[in-house]
Amino acid sequence: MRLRGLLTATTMAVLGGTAGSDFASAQEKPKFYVNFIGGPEIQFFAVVKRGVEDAGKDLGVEAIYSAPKCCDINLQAQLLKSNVAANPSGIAVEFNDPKALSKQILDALDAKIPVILVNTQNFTEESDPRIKALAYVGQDEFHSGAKVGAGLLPMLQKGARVVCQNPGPAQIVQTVRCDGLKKFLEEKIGATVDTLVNTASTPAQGLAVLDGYMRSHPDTAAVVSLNPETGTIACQWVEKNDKQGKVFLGGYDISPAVLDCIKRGITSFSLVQQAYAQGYLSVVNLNLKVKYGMTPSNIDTGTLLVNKDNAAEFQPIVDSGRGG
Amino acid sequence: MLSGHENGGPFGAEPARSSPFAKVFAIQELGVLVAGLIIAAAFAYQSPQFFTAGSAGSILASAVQFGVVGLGVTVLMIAGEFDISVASVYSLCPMIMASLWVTHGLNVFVALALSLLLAIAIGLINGLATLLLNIPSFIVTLATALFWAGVSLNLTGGYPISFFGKSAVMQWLGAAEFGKSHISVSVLWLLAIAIVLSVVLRMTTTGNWIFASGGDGRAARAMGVPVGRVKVACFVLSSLLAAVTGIIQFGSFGSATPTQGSDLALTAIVVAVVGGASLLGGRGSIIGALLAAIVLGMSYTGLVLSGVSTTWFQSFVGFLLLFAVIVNLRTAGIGARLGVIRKS
Amino acid sequence: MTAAEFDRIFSLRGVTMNFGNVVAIQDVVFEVAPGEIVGLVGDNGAGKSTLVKIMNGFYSPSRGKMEFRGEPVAFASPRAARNAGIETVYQDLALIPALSIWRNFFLGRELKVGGWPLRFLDKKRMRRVTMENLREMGLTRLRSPDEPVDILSGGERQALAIARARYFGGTLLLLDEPTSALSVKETEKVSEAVQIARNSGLGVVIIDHNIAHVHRICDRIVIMESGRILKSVRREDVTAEHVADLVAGRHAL
Repeated sequence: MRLRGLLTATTMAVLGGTAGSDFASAQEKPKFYVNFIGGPEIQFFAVVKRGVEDAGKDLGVEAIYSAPKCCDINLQAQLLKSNVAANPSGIAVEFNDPKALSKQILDALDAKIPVILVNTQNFTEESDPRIKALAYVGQDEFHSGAKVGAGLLPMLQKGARVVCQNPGPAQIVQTVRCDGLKKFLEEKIGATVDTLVNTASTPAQGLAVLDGYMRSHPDTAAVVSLNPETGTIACQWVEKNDKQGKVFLGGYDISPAVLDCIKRGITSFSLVQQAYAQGYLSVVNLNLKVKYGMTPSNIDTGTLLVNKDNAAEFQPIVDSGRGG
Repeated sequence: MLSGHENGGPFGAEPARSSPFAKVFAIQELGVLVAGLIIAAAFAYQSPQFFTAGSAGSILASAVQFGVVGLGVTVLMIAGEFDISVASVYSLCPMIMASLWVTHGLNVFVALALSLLLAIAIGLINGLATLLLNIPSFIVTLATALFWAGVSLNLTGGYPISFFGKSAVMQWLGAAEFGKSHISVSVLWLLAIAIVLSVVLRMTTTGNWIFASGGDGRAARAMGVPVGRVKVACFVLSSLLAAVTGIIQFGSFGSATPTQGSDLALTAIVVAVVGGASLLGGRGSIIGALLAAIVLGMSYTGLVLSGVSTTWFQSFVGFLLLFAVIVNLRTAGIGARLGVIRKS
Repeated sequence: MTAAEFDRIFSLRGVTMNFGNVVAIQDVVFEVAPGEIVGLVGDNGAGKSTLVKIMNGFYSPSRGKMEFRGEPVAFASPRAARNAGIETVYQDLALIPALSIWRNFFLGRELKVGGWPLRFLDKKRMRRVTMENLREMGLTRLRSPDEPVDILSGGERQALAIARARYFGGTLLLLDEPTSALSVKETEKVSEAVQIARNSGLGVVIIDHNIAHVHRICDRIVIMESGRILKSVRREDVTAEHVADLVAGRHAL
């Protein structure tokens, strides 16, 4: 009898204690979702995810990178619906489509969940004004295209042909970048800018695709690659075909391979959108709101031009997996 | 009179047991039911929000996406054929509808009808090519998948087409929700399609012919079943439902985009197989596939709510597939030993 | 004409079948009477299958006259022959293993209830008819018509196919190598099923390599060789050994 009573009391105490502490910690730790259209199978997203998770650790919050396998907008929308249903403390959304994600975001706002946008702001005029007013963490895509164009300008002649390798037209930002590049170079030097959709899933295939284009357009003076995967392919092609100094390469984002190509002078530069910062700062932005009541701010995550001159100091960042 | 089975057979001469416990093993969809209950229990334990209306909404939204296309693929697999092109049709047809309606101003019903007509045509091509050219459907639909994916991409060069107004059609397709519940009306489409297909398969001549064509096409033909016609009809159904899935998404979310690298074709096969369909044809269950779609939806949402990275979703689906198939096989065996007979 | 009014179900006179330059059968005279079991034997390539396929409408003969139930006939297709009451049980049985027994029984000839457009399977009636017919055929071990065909043994499946043919046919039954994959006991099942069918008034033609089996159950045995009819004998006039000799080419009889 007494033993049973003692056991019961002990059990209750233990349960009560853990339940209590769970409750307390659940109350304390805010939960944030950062919702993108693709996952870590893509280099860029892997770096964003790392930034998100490191921010969570540093700030002592639960920061979750939430994305389907690249790159279905409907899956992203459904995932966002689940994110909202989980009633988190805040959500950051990669706004890839002028409409598809709107309802979920508005539902979140109606439920008093703070929302910010990250990496992409694919608005049209008709997009909901409440969404257009949300804070944005990221880079200006259209003008980034122009920046790349500016970087290539010194190496191009009037009327030159440039090809823009687009690895994923479903991700609208890629198309926007090529468009920005095209507009800039057409204006400046009357260049012909082609878009080459290179969605090949393996490097060998990707190389074959680029090779096909370059052979049918032997006057191509420059290749712009929108991600490290295509950037590496461009670098390989130039080396294989001994076109160093005749075909110039520029691109977006960084990886160990791309950095190496820059150091060896094959690739002239890469525009780094600081994917890590985008992930990290999204969480910081939301946390400031939740913890201290700050209205979320617009943060330009900057564009860093990595070229031969500063490649060395960029090396450790790439090595640690934070260079995106 | 004829003697009993000499070897005793797997069933011996026992009369059928009628205990309720044994009857459970007569349920063809037992595998996915068991999987579903375990998964629901696990996720509910992990996260108290699992059983709220909000998460019901997202579970069912995923279930509709996997389910509508999964049901079409299930019927086709019962008939013994595959359709890999569903993902491309799912992407293309809503783009056609959106392009005709939003961009070019055609009447919404005309746009809808034309995009469905295209789906039917694609299904016809898939079916006729498979039968007349005598090439395995896997190969034919792989080819058409690639072709139509390209068409879809080239339609707008990658830009989505979005609808911003108010439209009764869009509401009916999925934009509307039940009260404040966040559950989209698209669930009704899934249920209606499941009911119709289930009735056709189990209770009509056509259904019998579909099972027969998939079970043994030659034998069916010898008995006068128009196997060719039956299979082509199933190809058309598969494409049609893939298009309907995409159009429901267009209604629910308001944008049509050329999606890339979508796993939808494989996910649809997973839905069919977890629901009880055999890769060899001749077996399958609509109810099972419907449950499988719901289980996948639960998995997707459950993973999110538990804080597990969604990158684990694929691994989860793989595990679910094996689990359900093993349970299906085991319960069939146990049912046989207990002497229960599944009503057909 | 009913089954009692004609004395021959099927009658072939001078029937020849050519495939291009190959002569499969030549100048064949062949008959089946109601309630008669005719065994068709001969070595490979003798033309037995071709003859049967002419009778069930699969082939149209290049030359010759055919009469069915006393009337001249030319079947346009297997379906026409089937409609006329001629059923064939093929070597591979045309049964679908994964499908239930009653669904197989009525495959292609399903019974329905209701009016257009809501015509549903009359499962109750089909189940009942299936069980009745299978019990008549001796398959009493069967618990339910919902069991899939693959639980039946080879002999039982043959019996099922024969039961089906008897139910739908009603005039002539053609069996192509029914016992080739069966054990002795299983062969017995087939013999009994054939007897039951014959007792309903059907004519039966059996192609079989198993001479002993043919001799045991057939009323008449027709031996073919190189596309021609070598001999037609009544069972009581020969021994099985004699028949085997004839087939093997020893024409000493």
